[in-house]
Formats: sequence, C-alpha cells, structure tokens
Amino acid sequence: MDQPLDTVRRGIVALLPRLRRFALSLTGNASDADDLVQDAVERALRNLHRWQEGTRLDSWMFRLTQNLWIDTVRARGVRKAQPLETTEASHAAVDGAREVEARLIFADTNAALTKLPDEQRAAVALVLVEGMSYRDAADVLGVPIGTLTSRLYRARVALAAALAGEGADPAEVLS
Amino acid sequence: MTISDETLMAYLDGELSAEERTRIAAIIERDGVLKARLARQERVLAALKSAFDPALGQQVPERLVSAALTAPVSWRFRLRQTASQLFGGGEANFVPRSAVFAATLLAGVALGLAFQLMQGGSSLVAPEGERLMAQGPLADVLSQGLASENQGEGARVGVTFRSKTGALCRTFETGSQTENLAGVACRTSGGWTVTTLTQVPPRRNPYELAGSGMPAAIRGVVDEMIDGEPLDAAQERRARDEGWR
Repeated sequence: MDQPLDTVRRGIVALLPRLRRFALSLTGNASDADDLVQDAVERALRNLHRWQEGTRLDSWMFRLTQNLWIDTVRARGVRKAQPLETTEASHAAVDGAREVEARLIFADTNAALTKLPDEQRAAVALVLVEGMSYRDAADVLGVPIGTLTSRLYRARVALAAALAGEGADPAEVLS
Repeated sequence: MTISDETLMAYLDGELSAEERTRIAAIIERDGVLKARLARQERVLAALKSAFDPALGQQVPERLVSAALTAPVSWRFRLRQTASQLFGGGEANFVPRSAVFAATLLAGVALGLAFQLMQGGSSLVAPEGERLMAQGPLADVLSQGLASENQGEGARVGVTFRSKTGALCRTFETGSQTENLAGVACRTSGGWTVTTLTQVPPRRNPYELAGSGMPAAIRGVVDEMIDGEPLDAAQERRARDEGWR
C-alpha cells in the first residue's frame, strides 16, 4: 500500500538532521550543506514517483544528496569547495574554550577530508560518519562492495596520515 | 599470525561475524603493533565524530522543514496515490498491485498532459489536494451522460463499472479532432477523481460509437479495476438517478 504523502513528508523531516550531517561531511561548510539539503529535499519530492516504496527512504535520500553534490561540484568547475572558513563549522557553542576546540577539530578534520577524492570522501561520510553498513553504503553510491571498501581503505590511510600530522609512514598499512 | 588490511578494516567497521570478531580481537590483544594501528584509526573515527556529530543536535533551519512539508510533489506520485486509494481500499482488502501499477504507468504517460491541461487553464481537470478532479464539461458528462445517449462533441462516457473497492467508475474520452484524451474517473466524495488519463489518437470518424474504440491501455486498467461486469444501460441510468452511490 502506498504511504500517504503526509507520512513521506514527515519521514523526510525526520531525516533532516542526518541529511545535514551527511551534507556537512560532503561539503565541508554549513551554508553549502544546508543549500544542498534543501535542493535534495525539493528534488526528492519532485521525483517522488521514482522512489520505490518498500525500499528505504533514507538510502534514497542519501543517494540523491550525494548525486546532487557531485553535480554541484562539477558545475562549479572548481573541484573543491572552500573548506577554510572554520567559523562556519556551525557548532552549537557550549562555552568559549570548547567552541574553539571544536572548531579546531572541525577545521583539521575537514582539511584532511578535503584532500580526498570526492568518491573517497563519500565513502567516509557514509560509513564512518553515518555509520552505515558496507552493503547500505555501496547501495547508496551504486557501486560494488569491493569498490566501496577499497575507497574506504585508501581514505582511511590518508586520513590517519593527515590527522597524525607528523607524516605517518605511508608504508604502514592501515596506518 | 597476520591479519589482512581488509579484515582489520572490517573488524573496525563491525562487518565481521561474531565468531570472526572474537578471533581477530584475540590476535590484536597479543600484538602491540596491531593495537597501535587500531588506536590511530580510532582517533580518526573520533575526530570525524566530533567534527560532524554536533550537526545532529542542532536545530534544523526552518527553510528545510518547510521544504520537506510543502515543496511540490511529482504528479506521478500523486496520481499513484489516488489510484492506490481508489483501488486499494483498506489494508484488509486484496489489492491487485498490477492495477495500481498499470494506472500509474498510464498516468505517467499523461503527466505532461495533465500539466498542459492545467497550465492552459483547461476546464476539464483541476488539482484538489492530492487528487486530480474532473471539472467543467467533463464533470458534467460524468455525472449526467449515459453511454446510450448522444453525448455531443465534447466529452463522452464509455463504460460504467463498479471497482473492487466499491466505487462507481466510468471511462471517458474527450477532445477534438486534433487532440483526444481518454481516461477513467471514479466517484469519490466531492466529485469525480480522475485516476487515469492518457492521450489517444483522434477519431477518424466523429460518428464512431463511444466505447467501441476504447484504447487498449484503458481497457487494461478497467480489466484490473472492475468487480464483475460493466453496468448495462438500465443499471447505468439507475446509478445516475441514485447519484452514483
């Protein structure tokens, strides 16, 4: 039985926090992330007949968001968004010191992510940030599991090296 | 004992079976180098969590909620919903999925058409909530017309039947010599809900009997929807006189 439209709309509202987190991990800044989520929501509703009911709304929305971001990046011609605005880290500040710390972590992590190819970044966003299973993440990206895990592996090695700072030994596997 | 990178990563990501997980954990426990590698990966994970998880706790901007609740929805989905409601009834009913699907496909064909009709200020159909309602001359002929009568140039009804969910439905055709539409509408509270709409070739002969040339696609939908036989002329007249209940 088809779900009433209201149920679908509320389902999307319930997904918004996760979609924003996902978009933030793809785009690296809060305003791009919210623009991306808004575009994705509007596109999802305009194409709702393409969603196969009985399949997961979240997977479909993540896929749409990811595809939209790839389109945006390509359209901009510039491969990377500007990750340097740490003030846009958009953390709900608890107090000054913690806010500064949170921004630093965000800036470092984001700078490391920005160096990754987009497809590796997406794998990180889905598995490490979203906590999806390999199967679900591969479905979202429309790639075989082996492709997903090899992207994830390369991303992990690069992130560990970047976040360790002191130039980790590249020969060290899963360093 | 060595562990492949692949296995180590699967261990980290919780992708191993419980048995495998226990085995790997025991190996790691005895291996300082492995432990250090894992610790670095855990720091990566922690950095990602502290960078992005706060987004989960933030207030979602109003514009996003508003987009989710009010942004326009595809017509194909709306028509599918209408079809589903009409053919499907309650959960207890057996729903011929294929009926809903056929109607959806058909409605899909006419999607652009529905838009054209509405944008062109058509007097035949109008959106109402999530439904597409017949109006104007189409609503009039659906409410008043009998297949046995001369129905004039505008819209004509074909067969009348009761759907499996109990609604009275009628096939119709409308149009001119250049453009011809065919569809199915069912009586619902508030009027006639168009569940299927498609474009068909114009009739070569304006005197051709309505119903005789029912498009195959419409016939297929009727076959799926219908409960029993179509109404005969007397039943059709009685249904009209009783207000299509």
